[in-house]
Amino acid sequence: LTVILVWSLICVAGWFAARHVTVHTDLIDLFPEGSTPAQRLLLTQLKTGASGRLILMKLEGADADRLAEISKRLAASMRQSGLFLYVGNGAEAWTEEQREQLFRFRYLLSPDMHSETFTPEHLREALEQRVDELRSPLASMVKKLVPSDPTGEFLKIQSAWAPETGPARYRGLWFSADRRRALLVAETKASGFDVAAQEHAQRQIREAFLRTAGSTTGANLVLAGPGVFAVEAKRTVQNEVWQLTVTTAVLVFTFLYLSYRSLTLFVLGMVPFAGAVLVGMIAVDWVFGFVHAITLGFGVTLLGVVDDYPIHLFSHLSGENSAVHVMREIWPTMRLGIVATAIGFSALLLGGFPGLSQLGLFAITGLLTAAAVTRWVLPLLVPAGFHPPRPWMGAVRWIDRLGRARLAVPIAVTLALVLVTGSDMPIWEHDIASVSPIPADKRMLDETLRSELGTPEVGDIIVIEGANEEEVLRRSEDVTPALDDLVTDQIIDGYDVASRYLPSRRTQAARRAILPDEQILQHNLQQALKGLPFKAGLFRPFVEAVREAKTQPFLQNQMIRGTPLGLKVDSMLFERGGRWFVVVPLRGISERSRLAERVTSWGKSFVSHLELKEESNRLLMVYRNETLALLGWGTLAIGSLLTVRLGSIMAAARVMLPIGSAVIVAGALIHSLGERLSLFHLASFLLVIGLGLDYAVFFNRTERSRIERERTLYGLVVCSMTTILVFAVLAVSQITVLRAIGMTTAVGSTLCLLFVALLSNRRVPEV
Amino acid sequence: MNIAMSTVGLVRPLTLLFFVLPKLFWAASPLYAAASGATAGLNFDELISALAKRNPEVASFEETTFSAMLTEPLKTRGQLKFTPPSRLEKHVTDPYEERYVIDGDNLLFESKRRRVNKNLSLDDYPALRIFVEALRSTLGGDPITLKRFYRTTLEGELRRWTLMLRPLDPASQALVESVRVYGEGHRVTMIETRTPDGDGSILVLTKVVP
Repeated sequence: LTVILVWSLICVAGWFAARHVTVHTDLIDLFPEGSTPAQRLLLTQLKTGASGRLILMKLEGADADRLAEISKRLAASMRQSGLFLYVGNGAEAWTEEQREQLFRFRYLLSPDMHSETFTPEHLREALEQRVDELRSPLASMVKKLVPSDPTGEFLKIQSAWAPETGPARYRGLWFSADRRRALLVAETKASGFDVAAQEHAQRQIREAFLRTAGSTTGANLVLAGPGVFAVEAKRTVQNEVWQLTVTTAVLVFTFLYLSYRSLTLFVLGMVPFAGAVLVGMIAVDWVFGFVHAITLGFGVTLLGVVDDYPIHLFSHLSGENSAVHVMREIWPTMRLGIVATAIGFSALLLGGFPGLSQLGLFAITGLLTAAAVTRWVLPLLVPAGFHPPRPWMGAVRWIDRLGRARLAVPIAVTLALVLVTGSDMPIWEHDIASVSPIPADKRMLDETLRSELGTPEVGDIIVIEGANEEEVLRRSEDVTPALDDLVTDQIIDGYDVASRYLPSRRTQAARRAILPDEQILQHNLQQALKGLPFKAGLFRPFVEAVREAKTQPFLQNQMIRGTPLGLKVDSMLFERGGRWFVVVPLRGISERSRLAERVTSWGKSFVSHLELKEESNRLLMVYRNETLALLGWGTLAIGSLLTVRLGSIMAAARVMLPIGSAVIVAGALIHSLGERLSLFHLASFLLVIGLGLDYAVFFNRTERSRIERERTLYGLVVCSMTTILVFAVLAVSQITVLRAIGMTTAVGSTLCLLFVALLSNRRVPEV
Repeated sequence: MNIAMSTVGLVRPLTLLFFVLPKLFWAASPLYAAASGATAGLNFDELISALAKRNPEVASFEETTFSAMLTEPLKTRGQLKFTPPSRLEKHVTDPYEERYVIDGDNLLFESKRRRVNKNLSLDDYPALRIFVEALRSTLGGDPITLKRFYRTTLEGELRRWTLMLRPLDPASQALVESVRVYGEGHRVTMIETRTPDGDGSILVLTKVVP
């Protein structure tokens, strides 16, 4: 009674604690940290970088003129909402004010400023060009700039900055080449992983579209981009959590009811489970500071396996002995199984993937809680004389007879090995896309939109590092000639670098030093103007501008914040952990090996080349190898545990043999189903081993009578069936990671049960 | 300094002459007289439809540009080629070599001297677009497009007529005040463009003898 009281108290306290648990929904919290600086940089960019905040939009389903109209109004409404740093639809992205700001800084920004710029000869050449422009069809565009910028610095800046690839246009707006889709790009203020803010922004876009599209029938809006997919992934996860939980609960309940025809049993079975969820939640919150909604959803599913413990207890109840007595009797066997399973779950905990670690911790603490509750609380709750009916005993006898076909196991293992070695398909999954929660068709959509917008996903970057902003900008400028050589030698098609838009102070100072004194400029200008048809005094604004620029402050990062230019710079120049980085995206790499060679040949330790895809894949591989090592250590740990408990290596081997075989056959089976193995499969194998051991120790338990053994087997079959059910439900999930875990564990535990039965050691005394 | 001043002094009367001359020419021409209302017998739709070209047409041109920034008008010469329905090529041969090819919305700009070979979008050059659309629709015989984008006034008679086009949309009005197309019979002889700041150009077309 004391135990029950204490337990109730714990429950109430736990309930209060659990109500204060912070539940997060941001996917960003589930991302790993990365183990090398390059990976950390990559992940930081992924988490907070500008590319993560992009929303790509297409409008379609109406004629081009109508789409242009909608595009115009939608962009205007989005700009007004204040949720976006930038909304682009092809129309002039600069405000008059921003243009004027850049114009004022033209002498510090122009890439063509050199010592000759203001000599009479060079001025003459520039002025002659202006004369020609004034009589060209493009005159109206350049005319206004002539008096204040006769050397054409502003136009040089614009042409140097103009994107080399851009979408097609219609009526000044971005369109697909066939004009069937109007294209827009927006950058949210919120991070791409701030799912709630992304959801809000996307809802605003959709509402604005409905308002602007008005009565246009057929016109529709499609969104893509990391933030959009994050929101969709969250919805998928939410739906799945709900569906899977309900499905699992219904299936397990039905199965348990059919197996025992007892509601009492079911209610009692829920006691350890409820405790497990509660404690698991509190533990995760305590260690990580929050519980992710996904952890909660799938942790609960995973903890479905703790129902094994009360079932073990119930299956040994016969009405003759009290529950407390029975519990005490089976505890050593059960404890062995529990520890083995806990070691299995620890693969998730130690895997280094924060999302999985949470799940692992949740599962282990839950598991141990459930075990403790089953051991010390549950027996007290069982009504005296309670023993469930077992309507399907016949099935158990049949399973027990499987032992006669033990040769099937080595045959299956051999077949499996032949299957795997004979297959052309690689065993390991190397492609990070495979673990992406974004469905393939969405990724295709993203790719098409990106290519139509002329902003293909960047595959390669050069990273330049420095102690501060100035240093990293200077270094970027020093590397620029070498980058130009890469383009000249056709190793790459092009690149973009932050120092192009925000030159270092060194460069700005050098350009400022080129500006001549007023008198010299006046003199040179008069010389240059000789014989040219410009009106006298026309270039007074030019002389004044140069004079002003001589004492002008430098252009700084904070001056351009919030402008399209600032955005561009922000995405390529940033600080992380006290270090500054310039990321140079490369376009059109012809030969990656030559590129890597060249970058190495520069001999600059602060410059490195990263192939994003390969780097991500490497990241995945690191985690996979880590998990593989854990699998090895876990097996070793379980092996030694068994050796100690069972007294000999042979006995331990007898228990582990069927499980090892099951893992091999399960791996081959999954592989032949077209799945490549990733770290998630590996983590699941450890889980399978843990669960399998739980079966094996009970299967190999020496029972006092045939009846007793049949009851044990009955309980075992029920346990494993509930496990298989739980994971089979996960296996139909749309989320690749969960599908991998579900499929592996379901197939693995089925085979475990089968092989354990086939190879079981039946030492049943005949009574 | 002195030399420069004297040059300017010399040039100024010439300019004046040039600015005034066309106007004198106008006032004197029968067309100008006709413009004062006597448009009987000249129907806009009929004229435009009659202008419709079915085959590529080439003409020599001489263009004179006036600007408040300049002390004298600037001249270029070359050939203008129209290929129905939407290709327009301006090939400058004197005093330098340059080529502008407008096809649909694309603008190809080629200058050997300045080593430029660029594909641009007409959308980025709205002022040019106003001019190009006026010319294309007139030469291509498309009265509907003309009326959609411009206020049209037709004056004169078939022998000598003037079609005045003023952009309807305010943004365009800020760039181009008017495009005047002068013609004789079914041939365009001159195009005059004026911007709101008083600058402009006159493009005189002479038929190339095949």
